[in-house]
Formats: sequence, structure tokens, C-alpha cells
Amino acid sequence: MRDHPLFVPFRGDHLAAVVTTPDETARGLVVFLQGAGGATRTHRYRLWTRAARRLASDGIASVRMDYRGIGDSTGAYAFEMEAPPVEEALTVVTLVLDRLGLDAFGVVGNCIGARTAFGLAARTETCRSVACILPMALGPVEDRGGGGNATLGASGAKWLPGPMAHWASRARRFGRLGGRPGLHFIPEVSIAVRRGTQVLFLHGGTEESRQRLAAGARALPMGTSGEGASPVQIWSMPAEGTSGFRPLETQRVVVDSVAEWMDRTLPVSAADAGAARQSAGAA
Amino acid sequence: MTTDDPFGPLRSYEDSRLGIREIFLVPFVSGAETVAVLSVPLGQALPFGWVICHSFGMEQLYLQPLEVEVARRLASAGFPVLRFHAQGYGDSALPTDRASFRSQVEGAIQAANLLMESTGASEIGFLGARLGGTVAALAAERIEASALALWEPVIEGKRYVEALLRSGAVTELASRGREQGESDLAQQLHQTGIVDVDGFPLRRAVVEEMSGIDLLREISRFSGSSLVVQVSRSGTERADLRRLIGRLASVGGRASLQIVTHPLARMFGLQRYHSSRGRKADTQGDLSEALIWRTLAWCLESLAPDSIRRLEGA
Repeated sequence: MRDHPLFVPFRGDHLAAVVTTPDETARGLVVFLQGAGGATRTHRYRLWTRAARRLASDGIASVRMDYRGIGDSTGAYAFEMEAPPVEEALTVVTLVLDRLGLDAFGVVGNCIGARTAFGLAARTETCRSVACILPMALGPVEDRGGGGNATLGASGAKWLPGPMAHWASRARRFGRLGGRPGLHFIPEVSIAVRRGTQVLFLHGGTEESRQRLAAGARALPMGTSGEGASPVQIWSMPAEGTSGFRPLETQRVVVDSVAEWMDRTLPVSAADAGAARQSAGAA
Repeated sequence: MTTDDPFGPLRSYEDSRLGIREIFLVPFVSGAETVAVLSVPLGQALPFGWVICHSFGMEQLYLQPLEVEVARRLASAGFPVLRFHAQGYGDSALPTDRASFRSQVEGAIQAANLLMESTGASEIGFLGARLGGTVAALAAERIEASALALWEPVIEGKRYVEALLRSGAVTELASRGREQGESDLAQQLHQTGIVDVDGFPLRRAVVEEMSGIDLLREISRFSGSSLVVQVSRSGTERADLRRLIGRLASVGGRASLQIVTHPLARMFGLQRYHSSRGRKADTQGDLSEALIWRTLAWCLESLAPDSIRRLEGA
């Protein structure tokens, strides 16, 4: 296993990243995308560093990156959930895939990184797999702009007086008849699933939010890889408090789950990855 | 850098606006590989380099933006600067439960040697915040460095450990509704050899070594220049920092205490990015700027004239 730190040029700035490669030829690449609360490329409690080493021992390369304005990257810090840094991630992934001679990749995301992960999966043909870590809330993958039974988007509700905003928000979340609808995903989730990307939701929220997530997942259009096991799976993780990655047991579950999911969903060998690349080229 | 490294050419970048180059290194520190960043001026560097020592536990993450910024600004002013992940942190090879205070001090000394070899710097200063300041002070003491810059350094390890355990107990209560005092955590530490403090594995051996830290006692021969910065809401001088200044002066050094007053002083070393209406904002930008400005001004006044004279003489 070897770490390769690098600076990736991006629109006049430089994105810091570390690529971890296995001793043998890699069979795929995994991209790690954390939230925007100041966590650097290693993530809180070094989750990404730890997962990268596990993946390398399974023959999978990975890249963890600092967003612009964070960690060792240059530039100004600026984040909005509605404008995730997909271009930054795409720039890093494209460069690393090219340098390693790989096509297939998976992406792991948490908080704004989860939204970025689906943005990346929706924008690329070779994203085989997404592991979306939702320790507390569904917000990162929820389409809050309305749709489904929504009567008023969040952005509209916030301008109403207090009580009206409260009921508008309830109407938006529960639907006109007050029933509990499934989660209405951001469009990138449907696009990725339809395209055949396998998706894991590693969920640590309440039972109620798990039911919403499950109902939303059932409503997703299944893609071409839907034979056998469902391409969308929900696994549980223990989480507590205001930071989703306590206690130590939670961290272990995250690392184990990411390693297991990527082992299952990425090419089984470097030869398999090469064959897939050749067949895609021939097509 | 080896020829088979497909990422070799991307190890560094230049920022012409700041007039610096930053280079990723993968040095062997405290028994294993880690990742470091060397920041150097594009023009001729002063023969005076700085090693930045990070703090402990979650403070390492929370203080990193400040450390990155001060490294770039010092490099822009002519000083080569090295920052690195001690073992158990960031991209280092060893696991988190191998992090220890003494290995951080050892790592800082090895980083100083690397900085001198890489840049030709003949004089070294150590800079750190909170427990990173304590690491910096002990590294400077060990190798008789030329300078020290300490931001809110921890003077007594025992009090720092008590605060860590108290924080862990509060988190237990807030997140699991389980009332657990510091003494319960201490008991658990005694029985199992490790406790989970806010998601960070704290080992008994580390608690014992940190509890034994007494900076006033351990500084006995450092004779370089020191800047100690207190971050305060009220501007009232901390007695323990005044004693530290006295100690540094009594062993032959030149030391000054400066106070940066800021309404968010209590947040120093804590989470600095907060969310509002789907947008994240940095709440400590001006506090960081004040600290960096004070430190840079002190460096240029106290250290650079000598360095520049030597550079001209050479």
C-alpha cells in the first residue's frame, strides 16, 4: 500500500488530495467525499484514511480530497447544500482514473459529500457504486424544493410568518392528506440508479426516517443492473448525538460497511476491470 | 520522489500571488510514514525555518485552517515552514490509538531535521496552538531551537486531561442521556485501558503521560526568543501564562506575552464552521487573522533582522 499526496489544479486554485494504491494493480477506484463542516480529506476520526487502507488491502485504490478552501487546498471556503462541489470532485476523479489507467469507480459520501457523490454518479458513465452515509438526517439527499406531494418548497416557506411557515412545512413534508410519504430524492439519485449505479444508504437516523428512506428507495426507477440483489440497499449504523460518528463502534461500522460494499460492487479483479474497459471501448 | 510515481509531477504547486511554493512530502516520522507540507518562498528563503506542531484529539482538526494559513503567510514573508501529521493523525500510517504526546514531540524534532535538510535552514522555530504549543515548547527545549510561538499553550497537562474527560462526560449525557462523571470515565480508563472521549480513543498511557506535563518545570534551558499569545474575551492576563513568560526569561530567553481580545475567544480550538440556512460560514476568520498578524509582526521584528543580516553576510 502506498500514499501519493498531490495538488490537482482547479480553476486557478489547487485541490489537495491523497491517493492510496494497493501493492498490486488496482481493480477500481473509490472516491471519498466528506461534509463541509471543516473536515479535511481524512474526515473526522480519520474515517477516510482508515477506509482507504482497508480498501487497499482488498486491491482497491482510493482518493480522499480537500474541497476548495479546506485543509491543504487553496482558495476561499464557501459551501451551500444546493450547490455541492461536484466539479471539484469530477476534476480529481478524472485525473486519478487517468493516471491509474482505470475506468470503474465508486464514491462514498457523507453530508454535502453525499449530495456531491450522487452529482458525480449522475454525471459519469463509469460510476459503478455509491455508498451514501446518512448518520443523522436525510437532508443531504432530500429534494427540498418540492415535488411529489409538496405544496410549498422550503425556500418559500421560510418567508412566511411563524405559524404559517410551520404548517406549510408540515404540508410539504407530510403531503396534503397528512400521510407520511417516502423520501423525495434529489434528481441525481434517480439518474444514477436508472443508469445502473448500485447504491448503499448507510443509515443511522430514527426508525421513522428509515421508513421514509425505504419508501423513497422503493419508488426509485431501477436500472439495468437490477437482476438478483436490489441495486439499492439500506444498511443500519449506530449513531448518536450531534456528531454522527461517535462512538468508536460507529466508526468501525462505517469503515467495515464501506469496505464490504465496495468489495461487492467494484470489479472483482484488475483483469475484470480491464475486460470491462475493453468491452466498453469496443461498444 | 520515484520515477514510477504517476502523481510525482503533482506533488507541488506555486502561488505567484503569495510568492510561495507548497510541496507534499512523505517523510518517515516517529517510526512510520506520514504526510507533510513544506511551504517555501519563491524567492530566496531566510535561513530560519518554522515547524508547526498540531494539537491533540479533535483540536488537531479544528485548528488546522489556522495552521495552514499561518504557514502560507510565513512562507510569503520569507520563512520556510513545515507542517506534518504526527502518528495517529490525518494521513499518518499508524492508527489513531497510537497517538501520544511524547511521539508528537519526537515527531516535531524529526520534522525540524527534515526542514533543515530540505531547505538549508540553519535556525529553527516551533509554533503551536493549545497542546500543540506544549509540544512546540518541549521540542524547542530538547534541541535548543532559536524561537517559539505559542498560541494559548497548555501549561499543566493534568488540567487539560481533566477538561478532556469532562467534555467526554458531557457528551455522554447529551447524546445518550447517560450521566457519567469524569470519575466514571477515569474508572473505565483504569479498568479497560482506553476510553472513548467524543469519538477519540484515549489510552491510559497517554492520559498518564499528559497528566505529568508541567511546562514550567520542563523548560530549563531554552534560551531563544518566545512569543506567547493569549486569546481572551476580556483582555485579562492569564496568571499561568505570565508565569510561563517569567520561566522562559529566567532560563535565559527573551519572551513576550501578547493578548488578542475577541468576543469568540472561548471558541478557540473548537469547531469554527457553522451552518445557517443551508450555507456554511467560517466564524473565526477575523480571530485567525489577528493571531497571524501578531505572529508575523513579531517574527519580522524579532527574528528576521538577524536572519536577513546573516543572509546578506553570506
